[in-house]
Amino acid sequence: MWYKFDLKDIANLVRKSGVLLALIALVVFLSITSNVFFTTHNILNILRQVSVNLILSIGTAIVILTGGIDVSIGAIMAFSAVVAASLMNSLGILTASILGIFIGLGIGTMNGLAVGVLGLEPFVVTLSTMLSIRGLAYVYTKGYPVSDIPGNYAFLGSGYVGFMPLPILLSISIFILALIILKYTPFGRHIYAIGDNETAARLSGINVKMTKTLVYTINGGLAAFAGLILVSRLISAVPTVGMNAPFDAIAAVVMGGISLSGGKGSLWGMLIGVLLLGTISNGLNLLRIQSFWQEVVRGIVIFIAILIDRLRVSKRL
Amino acid sequence: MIFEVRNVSKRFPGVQALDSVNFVLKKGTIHALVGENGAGKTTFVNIISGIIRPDKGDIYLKGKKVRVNTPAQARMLGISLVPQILNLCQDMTVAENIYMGQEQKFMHKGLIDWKSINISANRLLKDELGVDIDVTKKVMGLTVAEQQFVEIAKALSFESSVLILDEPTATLTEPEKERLFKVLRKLVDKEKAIIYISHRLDEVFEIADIYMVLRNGRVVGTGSVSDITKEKLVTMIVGETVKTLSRKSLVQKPNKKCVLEMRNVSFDGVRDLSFCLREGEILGIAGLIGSGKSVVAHLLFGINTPDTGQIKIMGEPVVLSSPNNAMRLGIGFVPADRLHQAMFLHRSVLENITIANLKRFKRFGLIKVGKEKEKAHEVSQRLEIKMSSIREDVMYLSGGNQQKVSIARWISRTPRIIILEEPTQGIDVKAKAQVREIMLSLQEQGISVIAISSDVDEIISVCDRVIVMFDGRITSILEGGEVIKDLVSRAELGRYKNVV
Repeated sequence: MWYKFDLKDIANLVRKSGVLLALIALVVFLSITSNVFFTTHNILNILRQVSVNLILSIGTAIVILTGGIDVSIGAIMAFSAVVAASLMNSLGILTASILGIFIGLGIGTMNGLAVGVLGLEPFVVTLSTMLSIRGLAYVYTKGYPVSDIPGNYAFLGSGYVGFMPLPILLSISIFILALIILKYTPFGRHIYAIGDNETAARLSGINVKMTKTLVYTINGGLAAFAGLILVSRLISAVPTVGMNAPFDAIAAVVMGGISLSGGKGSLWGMLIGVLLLGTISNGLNLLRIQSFWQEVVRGIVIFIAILIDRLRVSKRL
Repeated sequence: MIFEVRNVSKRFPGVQALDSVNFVLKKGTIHALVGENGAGKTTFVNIISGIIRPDKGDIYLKGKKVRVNTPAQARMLGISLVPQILNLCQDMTVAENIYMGQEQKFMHKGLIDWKSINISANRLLKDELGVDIDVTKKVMGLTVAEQQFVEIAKALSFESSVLILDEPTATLTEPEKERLFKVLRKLVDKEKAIIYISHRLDEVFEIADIYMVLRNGRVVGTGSVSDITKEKLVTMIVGETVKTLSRKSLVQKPNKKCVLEMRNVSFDGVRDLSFCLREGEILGIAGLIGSGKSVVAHLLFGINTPDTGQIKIMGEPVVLSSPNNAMRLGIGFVPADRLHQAMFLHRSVLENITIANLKRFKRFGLIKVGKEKEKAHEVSQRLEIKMSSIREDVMYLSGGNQQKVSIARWISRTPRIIILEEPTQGIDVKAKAQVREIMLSLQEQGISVIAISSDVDEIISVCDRVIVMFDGRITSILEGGEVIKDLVSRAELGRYKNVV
């Protein structure tokens, strides 16, 4: 019963998605041109690299599904990470990590209240959050990286369960959880309903204010969690971490066919978007393309992917 | 003959939308185009106004074959569409809207001469249409009818000889409609040709000269309106006999107790409302736009809270502070503006039906999809919702079926009271009859119904009692045999007070 729905979503994706086509084309191309690309080691490597963006994209996706946007997740990542990292020696890893996540949830809730309850424009709200929270991260660290982190904290970002890197397991678990929430809980249905038609949602008895607020809360919490993973992998928390994070996440979400106006699209598409972005970076590295050029190529690929989508959709009409 | 369409066909994936349609339009006539939703009316109109291209067929204007590939081309040829959903820029003035895109005609030394635009717009409205609207006013402040006149004036500004009106009266009240018809007659006098699309057959007989009926993309009948009866026309449209539209149900149930009661309620221009909804009755609320009849619905569904006065449900005073709160007290609300206030267009029929009722299917925090689907199936079968599957997005359903989905949402909760606002607005004849049947069947189940409507026929055919509102007050409450059309219309205008 359950899997049936998602099969339909996936089938839709295969039929319609230009992004999936681009991903397949890229995988084929890289497998031919590079003999290291299609190896278990490299694939796991890609998955580990995308796991942070996957977590961020899930949060961003649910915000966008309600018709909102959140550009503050990079700043939330940075601030909660530097605070948590700096307290790990005194409070212990677990307490400091939990504190970091609560910071994320708290900032997210402030975003949510401003958008959901006060009815302010999400872009402007999260833009000002982004500026001030990023600023706080600098103030807190005086601009220096926090690198006095206990060594065993590295497990979160670099550890393995069996052969599987832990971040992959964590991000996939969150992905599955999010799928279930969106499809099989009233909260998930409400998210889609609000994005599709907010007035109708209110008139159907949905608590629009609370749902909207919660969505930003969750996004803040996920951003903080992603920040913790990133810090663990680098064994250093820099206040500049995640500068591009919201835009990578938004790119993945939009490439996955989730409409910026809300209410449309599934997380499966977003997953493909995340994988495409990760594969591009990996491929460009394998092909030894200079990192400055990589940015250029990434921008162009995102554009082409959504253009293909658009062309395919308009032909169907 | 000014305009002719020969053998036009159009196919969409899975459906033959138009099949060899021939159509002839004469100067100075009004040609009514009727048919159920999905009969091909919109496709036909879209083809002749250049929005879509036909697969086959030709269009002739004044005897010459023409190509109509874009709306701009259609306009250049003198074919203008006044769309059902008006597309005026609300923040701009009437004159600016009328001459939008034609400003170059009014250039003076490289700048736009607004004064002459205003004069020109005023002349169009006054002389051509005979209506008096301040052209320097923003469109925002105009009534729907006035906005329609602006759209018509805009069409005329392109020297159009063929005007297409798509459901122009859908949101108009009786007097506004009369005003529109006056304008249309004036246009006919000026030798314009008008294609008039409407679901309201009374109007066809009132205003049109020629009718054409489309069914499943084919012309099933055309001729002079004076040669046909309403019953014959209905049969042509639906292709099968429907149950008679007006069932006089006017049963009096004076002894039943009040399920819901408003006592001296005032809010924002609505003053001193007192009435009682009796158990198991269908109570109509009639009135003009702005009479306050929709405010009543908003107050009862917790969208607004009264400034003063009391609302009682089953004798208990209640505070209806939000829709959610009203729902818990057993009230359901089917709003008039289906698209903006009820439908989740990109969600499935299933999700649209159960969205207000998800708690019932929840176990351990998760929705039990099997149970949910079962319920949605049951309700959609009961209401005869036509769809290819319950997972179909609601946007692909016809207006009538969307309206049924909107009603199904509340039925699935088994409420005590259902408020329907303009329940059959903008849906086809057959769906109208079905929605009325649904209202009567709700009554049979003991659900009390409030029907707010500007359609007097509708009120008469389904309601047991009718509240008439004018200018924020209840002017009369009509009961039983008193509910006759004339009385309602006159009471609507506020001439009749305290009829009971």
